[in-house]
Amino acid sequence: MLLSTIDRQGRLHRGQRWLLLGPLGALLWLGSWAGPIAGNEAMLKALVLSRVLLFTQWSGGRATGEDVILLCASPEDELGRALLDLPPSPAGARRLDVRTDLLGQDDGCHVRVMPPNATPVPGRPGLLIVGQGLGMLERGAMLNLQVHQGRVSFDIDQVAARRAGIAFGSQLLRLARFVRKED
Amino acid sequence: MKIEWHSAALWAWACLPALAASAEPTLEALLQTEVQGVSRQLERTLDAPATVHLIGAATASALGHETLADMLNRLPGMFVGSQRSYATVGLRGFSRPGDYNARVLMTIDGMRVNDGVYDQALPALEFPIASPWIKRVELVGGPAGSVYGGNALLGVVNVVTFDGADLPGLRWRAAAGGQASREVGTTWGFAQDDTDVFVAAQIHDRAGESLWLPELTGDRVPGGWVHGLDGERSHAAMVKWRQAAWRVTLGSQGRLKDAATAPYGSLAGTPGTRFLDRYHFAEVFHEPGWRNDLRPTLRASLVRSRFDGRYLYGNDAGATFVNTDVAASNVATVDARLQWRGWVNHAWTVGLEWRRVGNARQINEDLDPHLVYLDRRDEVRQWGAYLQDQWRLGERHTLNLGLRVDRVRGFSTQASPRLALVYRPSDGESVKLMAGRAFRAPNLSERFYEDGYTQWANPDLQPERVATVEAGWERSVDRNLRIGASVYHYRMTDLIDYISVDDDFSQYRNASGANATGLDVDVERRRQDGLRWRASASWVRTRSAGQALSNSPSWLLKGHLIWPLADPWTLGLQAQAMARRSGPAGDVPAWATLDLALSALWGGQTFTVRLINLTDAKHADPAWPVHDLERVPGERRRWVFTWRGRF
Repeated sequence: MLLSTIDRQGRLHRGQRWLLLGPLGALLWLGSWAGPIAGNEAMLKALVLSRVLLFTQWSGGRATGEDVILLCASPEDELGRALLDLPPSPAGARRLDVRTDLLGQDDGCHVRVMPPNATPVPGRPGLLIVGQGLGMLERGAMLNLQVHQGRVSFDIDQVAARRAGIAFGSQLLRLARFVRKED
Repeated sequence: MKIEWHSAALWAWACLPALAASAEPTLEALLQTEVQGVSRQLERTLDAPATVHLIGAATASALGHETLADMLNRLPGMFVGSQRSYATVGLRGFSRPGDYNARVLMTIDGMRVNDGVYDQALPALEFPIASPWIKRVELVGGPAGSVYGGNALLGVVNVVTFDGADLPGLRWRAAAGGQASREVGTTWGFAQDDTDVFVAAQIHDRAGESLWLPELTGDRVPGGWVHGLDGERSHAAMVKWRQAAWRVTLGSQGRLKDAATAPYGSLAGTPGTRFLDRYHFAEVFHEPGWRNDLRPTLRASLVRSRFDGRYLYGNDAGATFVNTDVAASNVATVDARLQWRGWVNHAWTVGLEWRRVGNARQINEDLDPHLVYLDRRDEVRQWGAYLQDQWRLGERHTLNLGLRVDRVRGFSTQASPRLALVYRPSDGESVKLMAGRAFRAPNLSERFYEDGYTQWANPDLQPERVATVEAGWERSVDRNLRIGASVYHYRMTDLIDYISVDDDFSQYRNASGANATGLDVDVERRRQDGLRWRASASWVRTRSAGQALSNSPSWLLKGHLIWPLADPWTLGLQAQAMARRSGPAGDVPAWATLDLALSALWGGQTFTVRLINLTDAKHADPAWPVHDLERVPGERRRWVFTWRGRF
C-alpha cells in the first residue's frame, strides 16, 4: 500500500519509493495518440449550422426533406469559407449547397449567413437570416451562432422566423441557448 | 503519426477525436466541443454567474510552479501563506489565525477534498495531487453554499486534472535544487474511442531552510538559528480511468513535515517534532449526458485521511517526552443531480447530497509515561438538497436562482440562497450582480479538541454565516486583452475565531461578526506570438468590533509575464507584494518578492531554471497562536532546475 512508504518514524522507505514508479515504467512500451479535444471556431459553427438546418422547415414548399438548401455567405467570412469545406451531407439528408456572394444577392437563397456583427439584410419570406455575435437577434437575425463559455451555441428568434415562414423543430428549441418566443 | 492536412474540414475532423469516431456527429456533440484558440480562453468566464479566475498549466509551467499554492497565489484576492508546518489560505481579506483553510472549499474535478475532522484542504504539498497533473485551476469567488453547502463560505477552488488525451504517452519530470530538494514524477496518458486513462505519480524530498527564529533563542537554538529541522517529504499517485460515461479516480498521498517552529510549546531546536499527513481517495463519477430533456449525474466518493502530530517536550531536568496527536476520519459522499431543459429558456438543476464522516478520531496522549488527554470517536451525518434555475431572460440577460438547504446533525437547518444577474452589453463584455448567503458548521476539531495544555473544547459552538453582495464587470478587448473588476461586501456573523481565554488556553468561539468591503481589478493580455502577462490589484477593508481583522492585508499586488525569447528560450517572471498585516503576537511589515523562470525546449525536452525570491527579500506571515513566535519567516532565495521529457 502506498501508505506504507512513509512510516511512523517519518522515513520514506527507499525501496518502496520506486514501487510508486515501477508499474508506470512497465507501461513504457505502450503508445497512444490523441489530439486535443477542441476545434476551429468557424468549422464548428459550420457543422452546427448544417445540423440545425436538418431540423428547420420552410413553409410553402420552399424546401422539403428531399430538397437542396442553398446557403449564401460572404467569401470574406471565415464561416462562409468553412461552409464550403463541409463534408458531404449524409445520405438521406437534405443536400446543402453553398454559394459565396455579396450581401444583398439573395436570389434563390434559403439561408443568408451574415459576417460577424454585420447588420442583417432585410428579411423576405423564406429567407433564414443567420447572424454571428451577441445581440444579432435584436438586429434581425433569426438564428444566431456565437461562442458561449468556450463552446458554439445558438439563439433563435421564433417570432421573426415564423414571419418568414420558417419553423424550428422542438429539439432545436431545447438545445438553443435562448429562444425569443414573443414580441 | 503524421497527417497531411488537406483542408480545413479534414483538420477539424481530425482534431475532434470524439466526433471523428462517429461518421455523423450529433448537434449535441458539436455543442459540447470546445472552441480552439488562445483568445477564446479569455472569454470563458464572461457568462459564469460568479466572479471566476482561471490559471492553466501552460502558465504554471512557464512560471516554474511547483505546487497548487504557487498557482493560487497568481489569482486576484488570494493569499497563500505558510506556517512552516502547513500552508494557510486567505481570500478577500479573510484568513483567521488558527484556521488553515476551512472557509474555501477545494475540489478535484468536482470531488470535495476538505477532510472530515478539520474540514480543510491545503494547497502546498499537503494537497492530494501534484501540480504537474493540474490542467486548470478555477477560483470561484464569493459564497457558493447554494450548490456546495458548508465550507464554500468565501469561494471554491476547483482543480481540473489532465486526461490521458491531454498528455498522451509516458512523460517524466525530475527536479533538483537548493535546500537539497529533489523531485521525480511521471505521467502516462492513453485515449482511444471511449476510453481515457491518466496515471501519475510523484515523489518529493527537501531538507529545508535554516530559519532565524529569535524568540526561540536558548541553549538549543543559539543565536536564534534553527538548522536542519525544516525538511519535507511527500509522495502522491493518481489513476483516472474514463470509460464512456463513467469515470473512476483513485488517489493516494502522504507528506511528512519536520516542525522547526516549536509548535504547541514543544522543544525548540531539537529534531523529533513533526507532522505526518495521509490522504487516500476513490471516486466514481457517472455522467451519461442528455437523454431527451434530462441529464442525470452521480458522484460517489470515499476519502480516508489521517494526521499524526508528534511533539517532543523537555522538562527542567533535561528529560524529554513525546506527546502525539491523531486526527483521522473516513468520509463518504454521494451527490446525485438532475438537470432538466424541458422548459425553453430555463435550465433547472435539482440535487441531493449526502455526506457521512465516520470513525472520526481525535487522540492526544503522552507516550511515556502514557497519559491520555483526549480520545474521541465522532460521527457526523449531513445532507443537502438544492435547486437551481438558469433563466434566460433575453439574449443578453440571464438570471441564476439557487437555494440549498443543509441539515448537519447537531445543528439547525441552514438555508443558502443565491441570486446572480448576468448582463452582456456586447460580445466580449459582461456585467454581473450577485448576492448570496452561505454557512459553515464548526468542524470536529473546533468543537471537541482539547489537549489539557493549549486548547479547551467548545461543544456549544454554532455555525458561522456570511451574506454577500457583489458586482462584477469583465471585458475582452480585441479578444486578446481582458479587463475585470469586482467590488464586494461581506458580512459575517457568528464568526468562529480562535480566542485566547487566559495566558495558557485558547478556545474556538463564535465572535460577534466581521465585515469586508473590497475591490479586485485584474488585467490579462495574451498575444498571438505567445507573450502574455497578467496583473491584478486587490484592496479590502475588514472590520470586526471596530478594528481591522488580523492577518488581513489591505492591499495585494500581483503580476506575471511570460515572454518567448529567441527560440528555444522562454522567460517567466512573477511578482507579488502585500500590505502590512497584524497578527496575534505582532505586526508583519509589507513585503514584495520576485521570481524568475527561464525555460528552454529542445527536441521535446524542456529544461527550466527557476529562481524563487530572486532578490532574497525578507518576508513573513503572522505566526498562528500555536507558536511562541511573532512571525513565521517566508522562503528565502532558492533555485530549482527541472527537466521534463516525453517518450
